Amino acid sequence: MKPLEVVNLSKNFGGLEALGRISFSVLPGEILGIIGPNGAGKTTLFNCISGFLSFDSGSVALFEHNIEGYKPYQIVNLGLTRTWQLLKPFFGMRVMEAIMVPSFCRRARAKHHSKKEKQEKLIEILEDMGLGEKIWQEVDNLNQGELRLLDIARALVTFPKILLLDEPFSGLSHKEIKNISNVVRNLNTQGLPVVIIEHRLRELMRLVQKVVVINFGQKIAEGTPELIVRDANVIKAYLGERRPKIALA
Amino acid sequence: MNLPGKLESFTRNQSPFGLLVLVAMAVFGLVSDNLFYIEVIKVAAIYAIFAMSWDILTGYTHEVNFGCAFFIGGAGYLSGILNSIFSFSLYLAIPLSALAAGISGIFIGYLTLRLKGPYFAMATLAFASILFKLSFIFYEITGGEEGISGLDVFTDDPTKDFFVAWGVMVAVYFTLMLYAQSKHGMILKAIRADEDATQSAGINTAYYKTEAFAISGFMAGIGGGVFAHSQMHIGPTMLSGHISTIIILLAIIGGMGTIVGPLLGAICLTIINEYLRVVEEYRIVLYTGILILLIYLIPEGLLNLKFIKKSKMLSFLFLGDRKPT
Repeated sequence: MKPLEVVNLSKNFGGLEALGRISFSVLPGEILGIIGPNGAGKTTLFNCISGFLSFDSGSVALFEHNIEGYKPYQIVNLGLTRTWQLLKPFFGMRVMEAIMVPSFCRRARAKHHSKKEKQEKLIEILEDMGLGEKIWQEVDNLNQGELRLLDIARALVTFPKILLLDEPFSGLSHKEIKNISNVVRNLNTQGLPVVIIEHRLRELMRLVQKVVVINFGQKIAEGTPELIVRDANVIKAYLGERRPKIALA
Repeated sequence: MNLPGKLESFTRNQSPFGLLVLVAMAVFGLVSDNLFYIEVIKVAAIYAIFAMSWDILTGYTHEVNFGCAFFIGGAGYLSGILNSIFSFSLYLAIPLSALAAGISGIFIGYLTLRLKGPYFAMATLAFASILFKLSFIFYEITGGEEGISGLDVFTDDPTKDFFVAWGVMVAVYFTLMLYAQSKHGMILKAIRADEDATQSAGINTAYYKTEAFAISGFMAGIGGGVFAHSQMHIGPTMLSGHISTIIILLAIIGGMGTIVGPLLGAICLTIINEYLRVVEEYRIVLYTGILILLIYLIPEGLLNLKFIKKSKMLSFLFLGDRKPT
């Protein structure tokens, strides 16, 4: 059973085609990277999958369950959780409170049998993220890297069956990127399929097993990282085309 | 690490200062035999109900509700009509009208869900204005400009009347505290920080916002009913933009999003307002002058001041916030 299958997904903003018949699927236990130049439609794709935007045609199936027209919170309760490129932290709360909010969703409540069990699980997630010492800190006092980790921790509290990360490396230092890469790899070894949008290709290519490349709303390539970096279309999308030399007279 | 249980955390997180204010008012009511002072703190207690009920919606979601007069005046009028025309007992009329206010809260909440910021404020203002106009159009029932007079009173004794208002205020205070410190309050705070992120945490934000609207409406409705019957009168001023604005100012000056803040703000400022009656000609000027000054100097509100939030002792004293070590 494929965790996520997107078939011919299209989305237009007025006359602009943001996504044109995009198809891909995520296999169990896979890390899939989605790359593409700025404005290619990657985040729009995530918004369509996670229910924040409606799409015009095509279908999105989560474990062979069609989720077209579902509200974002319903999709989370079916097991697909996303994080945000532009961080949306719960300012004005403590880390522990912020992490408790997703534990109130239906999916998380069904998994916890007792209060104690739930607290232990929350603390365990924070410790896995390396935020164990920040439990009682105000969210406002965390730095960018910690906020990213908290965002991922928040997603994990909903017990996702598939995780969508929107540019988890943006604005982070190399050390923090390594940290987040390790977290993602650990989650993946526990069997969680992950989809990552990323601009930092060097770090991404080490992490993923398969890459989908999008440009101007079209899928232009799909394959293993080794194949993608040699793909002519991809190189063209990122670097542009060599202009034909005009013979000087 | 052990997190306290729900009930335990409720008793732990009580603001000592809030409790002190509640007790001090009761003691004052018992000791004082000056009817004017009793009347003043009765009005203060009712305004505290209004300010706290406004706070549970706006303080926790930061969507400014400019139409609290809709619930206050609406419930007051409904209770007055039920009492004077249909001769319902006031102990039935007040809960019924509060319930009606709560249900209309669900309705308005549902209609204004998608609105944000100034658009939300204008929509809520419009609802209150509709009711204000209706009170003049249906003057045969509502008495038009004069309102409805001669409503039943709780008791004949002003001190006992005060204790009725005080009891309702205490009940509203503890209910809202319990609500704000429960998971509902936490989710409202998360919605205030970011609604999309709360949705992507699997929370049906529309439901919680509507619920907060209903509770805010219900509590304001109780206050409106108690106000109408304790004054024996309900007039169109309680539906006007004036009352909404005053309540918003009281709550903001006290410190929104804390429940204790609006309680404090409403009580202190109402007492100041009534005390200024010794210079009646200048009262409105002085009172609004004080409000403008306070809003200018402390836009975040008294209890949201930085040094209170930072200080361990003060934040415990005023907000009941125990900083873990």
